[in-house]
Amino acid sequence: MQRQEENETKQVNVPEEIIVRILSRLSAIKSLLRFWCICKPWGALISNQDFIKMHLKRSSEDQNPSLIVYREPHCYSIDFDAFDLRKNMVRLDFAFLEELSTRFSIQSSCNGVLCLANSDTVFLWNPSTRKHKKLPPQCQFPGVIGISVWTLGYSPRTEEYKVLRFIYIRDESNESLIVGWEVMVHTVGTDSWRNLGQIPWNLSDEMPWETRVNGTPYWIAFRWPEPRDLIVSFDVGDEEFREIPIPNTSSEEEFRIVLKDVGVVRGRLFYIERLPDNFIEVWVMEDCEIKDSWVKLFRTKFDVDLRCFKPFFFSKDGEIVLLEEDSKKFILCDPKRNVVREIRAFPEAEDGIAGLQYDREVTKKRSGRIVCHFASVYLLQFLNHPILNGLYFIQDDAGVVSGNDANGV
Amino acid sequence: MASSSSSLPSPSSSSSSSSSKKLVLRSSDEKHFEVDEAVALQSEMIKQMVEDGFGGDVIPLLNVSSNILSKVIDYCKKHVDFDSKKKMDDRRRWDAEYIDVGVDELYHLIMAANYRNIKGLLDLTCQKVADTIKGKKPKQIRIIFNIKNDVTPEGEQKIRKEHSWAFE
Repeated sequence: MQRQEENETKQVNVPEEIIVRILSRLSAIKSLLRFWCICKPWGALISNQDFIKMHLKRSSEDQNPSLIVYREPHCYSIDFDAFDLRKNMVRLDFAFLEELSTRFSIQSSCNGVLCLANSDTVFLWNPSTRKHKKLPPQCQFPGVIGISVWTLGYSPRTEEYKVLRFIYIRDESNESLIVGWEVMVHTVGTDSWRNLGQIPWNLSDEMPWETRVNGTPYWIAFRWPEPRDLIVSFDVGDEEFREIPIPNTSSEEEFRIVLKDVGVVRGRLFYIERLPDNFIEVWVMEDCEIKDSWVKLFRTKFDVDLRCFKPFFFSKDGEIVLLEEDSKKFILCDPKRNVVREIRAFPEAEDGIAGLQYDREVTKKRSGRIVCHFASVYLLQFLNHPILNGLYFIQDDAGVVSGNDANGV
Repeated sequence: MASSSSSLPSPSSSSSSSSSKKLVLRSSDEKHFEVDEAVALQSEMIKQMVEDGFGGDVIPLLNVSSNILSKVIDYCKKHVDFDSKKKMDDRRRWDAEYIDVGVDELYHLIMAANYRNIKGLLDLTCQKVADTIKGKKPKQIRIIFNIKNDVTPEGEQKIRKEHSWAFE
């Protein structure tokens, strides 16, 4: 029997569907890049758009997001699937950023691509492929005193990546008063920014700023001047903002202060309220197309006051991952067993994570920390890869991307 | 090597299902395995056969040898238990131990899982292969998968140059 099996192995012929299954489970993009030159069929498979989408879907379903942390002068990714986060901190190669003279901050992330910005330049950077792209210059706004924040989004329908720039407009007589937000949009692969005008909402500017479900960004917001909270989303394909009412909870009749957030659970939007007496209430949106599809998941009490922890996402084991506001530790709350675990990410950092501390000069309350499906993903670069298109990617020493690639990052 | 008795449910797992319906599976080397229907139905292929009315007969599995079939049945049995208990940690631990096998056996398990359409086992085996090949060099991969290199040296050079860090 043994001999027979050995013989069979020598003529192993693994069916293509099995190869697809295996390669789509390779979480390390580095391996995929290397396997590209195994043979022509493998190369064709790895660069196939359907495969890329399948890989992305699988990794976002199977893996927890990684945390990207910027601690000057380096950038790290932290693997959430490991209990001891310190042992799973990997320094990312971002040589091109080190050459830039001005400080940058991580603004947003989508499908493994990070959006980085400093006062005058915006980059997209894919740490998995170590590719980056400098976005076209943004126009100046005469008379507007304000700072900007950027958000990256993706439309599965139109298969476009877009970067939104939000510009705070301040009151001319009282500069501390924000009176509105102007929005610019850039479609990745084009060479300009377009103005979408002012929006009537105040998007809450606490970190983490937005949540992204299937590429669509969501914010907790309110419409000026009404104080009522709601959720605003941006349809990346249609370039339209939409209002979504928050679920009908009775919390506000019960308590004076209710902390509201949105996050991601199994590819869907969840809404969470942190309440006094250590209660939290979580709702999930069953169908993002139907505004009133909120379903209450649970209301439960923990032994920890969660009001100074910011919720991020549900881990694949069903725990809610929250980050302490001073950024020194994470806690994971298991609602089924009412257990809270604590993970100290950076014990050596007295002042928390450098990148977590928002820089008022540059970005107001923007953190340098982003949760994204980083380990898993490599999109943009592959979507329009210069090798595949027969184009060359020219990158000079200053990290400026030029050449005739339209979409490559 | 394998016999029908080796595949009978162990006493610990049979208490609740001792009266359940049995199916008989036949491996490529003509060994018979009697298993609970619930265990056999983990395989989509067998499920389809039962729905099509083949359940009363011996179900022949032409491509699966008895030692691989016995291993596959172990998996299905255990996962019927897990499905009713839902202990994720136990399941993960058991899976990790179960899949700690050599390349040959892994290959045959994949083929059996694919042929019999057992999604859980297919996912587990493919993940194991992915974890195994993750750090390997292209040359080693070609040997494992018996692949002839048809990429031109220029083509390979181009890829290596473009992503030199991935080849370090």
